[in-house]
Amino acid sequence: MNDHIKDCALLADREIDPARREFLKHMLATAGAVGLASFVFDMNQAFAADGAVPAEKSAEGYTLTAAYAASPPAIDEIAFTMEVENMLALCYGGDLMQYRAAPTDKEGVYAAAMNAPGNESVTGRWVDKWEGSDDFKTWTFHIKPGVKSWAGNEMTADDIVWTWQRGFEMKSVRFFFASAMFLASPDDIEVIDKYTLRFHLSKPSPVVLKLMAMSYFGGPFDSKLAKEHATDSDPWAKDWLKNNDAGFGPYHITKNISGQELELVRNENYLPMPPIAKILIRIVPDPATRTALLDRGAVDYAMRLPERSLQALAANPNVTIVRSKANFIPYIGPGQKNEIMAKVKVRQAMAYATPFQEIHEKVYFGQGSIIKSITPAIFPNYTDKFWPYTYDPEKAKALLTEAGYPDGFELKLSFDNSIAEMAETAVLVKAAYDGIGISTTLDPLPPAVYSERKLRRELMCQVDNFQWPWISDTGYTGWVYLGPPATTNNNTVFFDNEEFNGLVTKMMEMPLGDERTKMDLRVQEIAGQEVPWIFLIEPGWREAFKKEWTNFHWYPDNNVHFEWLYKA
Amino acid sequence: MHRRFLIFAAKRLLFTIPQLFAVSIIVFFLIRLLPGDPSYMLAGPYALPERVAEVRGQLGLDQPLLTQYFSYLGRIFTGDFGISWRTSQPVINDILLRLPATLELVVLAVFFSIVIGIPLGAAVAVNEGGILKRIVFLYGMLAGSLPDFWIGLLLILVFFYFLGWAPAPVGQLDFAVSTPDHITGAYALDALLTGNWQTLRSASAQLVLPVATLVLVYMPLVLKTARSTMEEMLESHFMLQARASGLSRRTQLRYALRNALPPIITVIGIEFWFLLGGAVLVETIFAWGGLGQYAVESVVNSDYAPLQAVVLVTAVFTTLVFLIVDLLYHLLDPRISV
Repeated sequence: MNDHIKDCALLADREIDPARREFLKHMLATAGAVGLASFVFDMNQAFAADGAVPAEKSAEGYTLTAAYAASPPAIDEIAFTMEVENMLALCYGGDLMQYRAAPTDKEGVYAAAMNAPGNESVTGRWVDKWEGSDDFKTWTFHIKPGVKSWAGNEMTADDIVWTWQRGFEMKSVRFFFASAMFLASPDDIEVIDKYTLRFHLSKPSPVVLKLMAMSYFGGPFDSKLAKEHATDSDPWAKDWLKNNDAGFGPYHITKNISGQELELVRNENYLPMPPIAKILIRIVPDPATRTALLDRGAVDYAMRLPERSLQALAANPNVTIVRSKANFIPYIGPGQKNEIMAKVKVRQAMAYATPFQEIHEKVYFGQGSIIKSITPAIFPNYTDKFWPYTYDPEKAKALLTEAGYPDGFELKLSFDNSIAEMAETAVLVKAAYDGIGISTTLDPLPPAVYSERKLRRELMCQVDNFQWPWISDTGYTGWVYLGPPATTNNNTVFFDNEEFNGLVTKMMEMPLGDERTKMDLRVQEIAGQEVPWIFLIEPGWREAFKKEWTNFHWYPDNNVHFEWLYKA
Repeated sequence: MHRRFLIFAAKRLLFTIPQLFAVSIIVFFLIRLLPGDPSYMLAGPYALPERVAEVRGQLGLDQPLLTQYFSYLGRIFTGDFGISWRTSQPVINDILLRLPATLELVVLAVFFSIVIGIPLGAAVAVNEGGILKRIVFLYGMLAGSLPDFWIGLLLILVFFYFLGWAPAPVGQLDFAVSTPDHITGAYALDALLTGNWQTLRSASAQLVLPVATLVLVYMPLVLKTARSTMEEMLESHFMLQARASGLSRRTQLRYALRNALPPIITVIGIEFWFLLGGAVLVETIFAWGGLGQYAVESVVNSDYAPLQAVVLVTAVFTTLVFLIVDLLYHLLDPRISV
């Protein structure tokens, strides 16, 4: 069997860790042999290192209180905010696969091992075994028996098929990812038996397992439960699932008063049993109030606080600021439908005029790191050698002159005015650009207006932080955000480079191997030369909790996965 | 007298119909002039253009404006204000949830503004030159120059953060306190009506700081009006005659206050109207989940349906408030007519 064909027994699968650990402890106690004891000790360390939940903590049944910034508009893939993605991850728990967890340099913080090469970063979520064909076109998944929803129904292959059928009907995110993995129709999913499915893809997909590791578009659905709420006019239970969940994930929503509160209870059938039995969430829109609540100890967790507030909270000995390297790509995006922004030398000049260090220090207080590639630093094949840009106003002026703008030009810099860090960044960028003759006007926009104009590609230049690729693959990142503009909606800056388009399109359907790695590096090189985006600062995942909580797991959705948390 | 009042009230009520009709037109078309198309946010970043077009179709945004307006008009008569994309709920449900929360806050704020502001204003007018006048003057100056959100944050800082006297500003109820059985939707009132004392305690405690903020900031309007009109009345010719006729001080003050009431009632009406939509920052700081907060979130997210409904509902309440003001005016001074 080739090395890319996986047949995994999942020795270190987190789902079965507690039982395995208990088994190994038992072996240690009974064997008594020094050699075996040493082996078992090593194995236990390996299990503990992935941040599993100790069995005794599962029995605790904690209640956690949280202050969120907003209510989720829905519990289905019909609206997209951090709160929606958080609820979907908690209620549905993600798709068939997941990224492996690995320890970080911070105690009690684990992170998705996105830097592992190829598909080594992913493991089974609801499946305990999977196989890929040599041509990467046929993938077979074996669902673990005994996975149950909060309603008590067992997950079967039919649930997965129904979920994909619904995804094709919804024509939303799951549908988009079906196209990314070349699943042409739900009919191409073959049910082998109650627990086994086979996906027949129309083209090879090197990233299919990573695409199956996402958690933010809902599903797998407990189809039996969902169908109970379907009607003749609504066969996919869209109305019911807007405000209710039918998942196999660790939590279940029991109360949702929009704009006021949410209550989640754990799925008693979920393994390992989450130590937090109940999550009480209050909607507190004002970040200053959320900060005060945590500072005073009135809540266990305050969501989405700006770095400025986190810095203030860090002085409180009863609060912990959890940090991990992450996958954010904040950037300045020159809209290349504009004649001036379309010139490479202008974009290079803007890159040299961008005060990276100042933004890092004044907006992010030195946290995180300056981005130097289109692919996040935690992804495989990342290199910073193709990104030469540091703050150099003289070089920027010279490039502007070469581009035909010795006296600069007028620039309109747009941003979402609800994100304080983007506004602060824009102010610093304006000052720097004004200094080299690019007369910059700030254009703060309400979220919906910004979103619309960005997607319509009407902005001359944008400061944006909405990109955090889930698939640890440069080809995917390039394809999804800057791929051929005619077919890539997310390419909001209208970057259109023939070689780049060809490479990222090819990488989406090319089996893993050395040739693909070369293409990966070339994509990073083109991004450095052509500057479709001016990359800014990767601030990292940042969350503020009461000190007593531990076992945080960073996942590329950048949400808090409460199922792992317990009190130290 | 009774018949005249009824005729007055009927005429005044008739006027509300064209008023509300005009409001519905203005609201609908003005909101359409706002930048922002919710279809893009609703469809999400990965949606294909066809999906965005489908969402536009579902929202009716692909229809001509007039068609959209008449369809909207037809639906609101059946209580159908559409669906909010931010809550996935019928807008009418959202409003029924949030309006009582705001009304509870506003009614209490106006009530305390009246019971404290009018006597205090009258007292200052009567005791000219006293220390009370100087204190009230200083308070009026300060309250007039400090924004409500600042006062709210200050109260949170002092009474929750430093002293720990006030409960956490997490909305209408503290954590783990169950919501009362629904009667009016106002938690404190419902808890009182159902005898749910634990919830009543929590709801009342949660009300203290936001109501105090609103009273501190907006009471000076009532207080100053009460003071100035009382001063005016006390110096008027009829009061001179009253004094010359030897009427008791108490009777004089009663006459003065009654004659000072019409402008005070107008100011109270204006304050009530203003707070219905204007308490938004206080609602946000105290996580109140009220109507003003709902309206602002609708604006920034281009959520048209709730925005239209909130403006219309506020217009209905405003009309109602001014109707009551006019009727009270008429009761106080029957010479006033429509």
